Amino acid sequence: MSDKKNKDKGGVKGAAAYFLKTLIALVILPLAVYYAIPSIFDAVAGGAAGDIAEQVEKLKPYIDRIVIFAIPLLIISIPLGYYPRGDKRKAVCRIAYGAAGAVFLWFVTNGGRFDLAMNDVGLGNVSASSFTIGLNNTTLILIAIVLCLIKGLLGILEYRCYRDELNRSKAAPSE
Amino acid sequence: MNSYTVGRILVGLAGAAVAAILVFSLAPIAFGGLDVTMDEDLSVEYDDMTQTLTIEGNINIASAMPWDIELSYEVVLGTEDNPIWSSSKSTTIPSGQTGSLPIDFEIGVDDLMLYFLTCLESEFKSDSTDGTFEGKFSLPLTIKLNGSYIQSLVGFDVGVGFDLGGSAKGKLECDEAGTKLKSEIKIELPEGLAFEYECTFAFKITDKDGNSVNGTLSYDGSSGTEGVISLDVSTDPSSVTIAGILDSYLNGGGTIELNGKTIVLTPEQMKTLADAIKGLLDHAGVTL
Repeated sequence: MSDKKNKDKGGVKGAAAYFLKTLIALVILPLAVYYAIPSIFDAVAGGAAGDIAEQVEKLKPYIDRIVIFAIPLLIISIPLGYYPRGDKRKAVCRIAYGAAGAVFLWFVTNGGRFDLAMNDVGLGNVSASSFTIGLNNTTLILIAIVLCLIKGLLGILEYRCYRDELNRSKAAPSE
Repeated sequence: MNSYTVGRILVGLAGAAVAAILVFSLAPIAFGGLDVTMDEDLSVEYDDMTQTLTIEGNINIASAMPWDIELSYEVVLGTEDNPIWSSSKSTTIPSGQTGSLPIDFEIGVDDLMLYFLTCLESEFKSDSTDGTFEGKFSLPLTIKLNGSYIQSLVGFDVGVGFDLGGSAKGKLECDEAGTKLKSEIKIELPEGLAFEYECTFAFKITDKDGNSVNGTLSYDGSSGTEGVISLDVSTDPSSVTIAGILDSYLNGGGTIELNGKTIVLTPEQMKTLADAIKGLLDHAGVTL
């Protein structure tokens, strides 16, 4: 009964699972997409893939930022997965994970601002010396950050909900 | 289901909603929902009476977006620190329709000439002090297009920078007394940009004692992409040197007139102008 209610029992397996989940979602998946886009376009669009690869190369700073800002999340994910639900330390880790996630979101998305510089653009017969396109999603990113922080604070609720259950399972380890 | 699970589900749903809005708001623009083009040829007209340059054209926007788009543009001629002219306009492009933002700006040729004079020395490199010099000058034109949609939830901007400057070479000649200065500068404008007009304006720099430097600055662009700027300067009274009057003006104040109209320069503009004139005189072998 207790196992059904509280599947997240932590331990080394839990730590490894949380770490891998974070690694796949925040590092491996973005890197795979980044490196796969030119190949996908190569298969679909043939010769145009060279141009796409050039554009995708401009996303490199964002990818670098993902890897750098994922490090704190990867580190926190280990104790977060290790401690069982109802443990105070798990609640603290969840809050820290939420805060680190908010920082990750803000810096990786550049505060919701995405800029792309392009070459070879003309106005009539005069060539442009610079051409930039920017997208601004700051409002949506701020909402996402608030949600991330709320998700972190849910750690307190998690602690309160599972505290008694954890104490019971500690009192009767054989069950 | 405990309150923690309910909380997680609610946050998850809200997160999914934000992600969905993000995808749905960006997908149309990412897949070419907005086509921004500019008129192939901008109309450049020069009015001899008002000595103004009128540039007209259109930024055309074809929208296939499912939302109305609020658009505005800002055009700045000159550098950010030293703008000659700027203008902004805004409009709304209804969903799925085509609209245009008209570019129509008037620039006083005197403003343009003053800018040219101030950037002349800083941009030019000269290895000699015999008055000859050649180099490149820069005249930046920046067009910024800002747009937003879904109640300003998503914004975008497009910035295009052009350098309307070109290369130039010329010679400055000053008489031995330092009271007369002549210069002829040949400028080559970028391909596709021809200013085939002739214009002249007069300037007068008067110091606090009433001594003045009088000059004319003229442009002859009749040969197409190559233009000739001529500068002819003398002092009144002729016994006072150009360097002396400029020195007196910079230290004690005075007035500057362009085509009989007194202009007020900021201390920064005055310093830039003074540095430019000093540099030009230096090229001609005259030390202020």
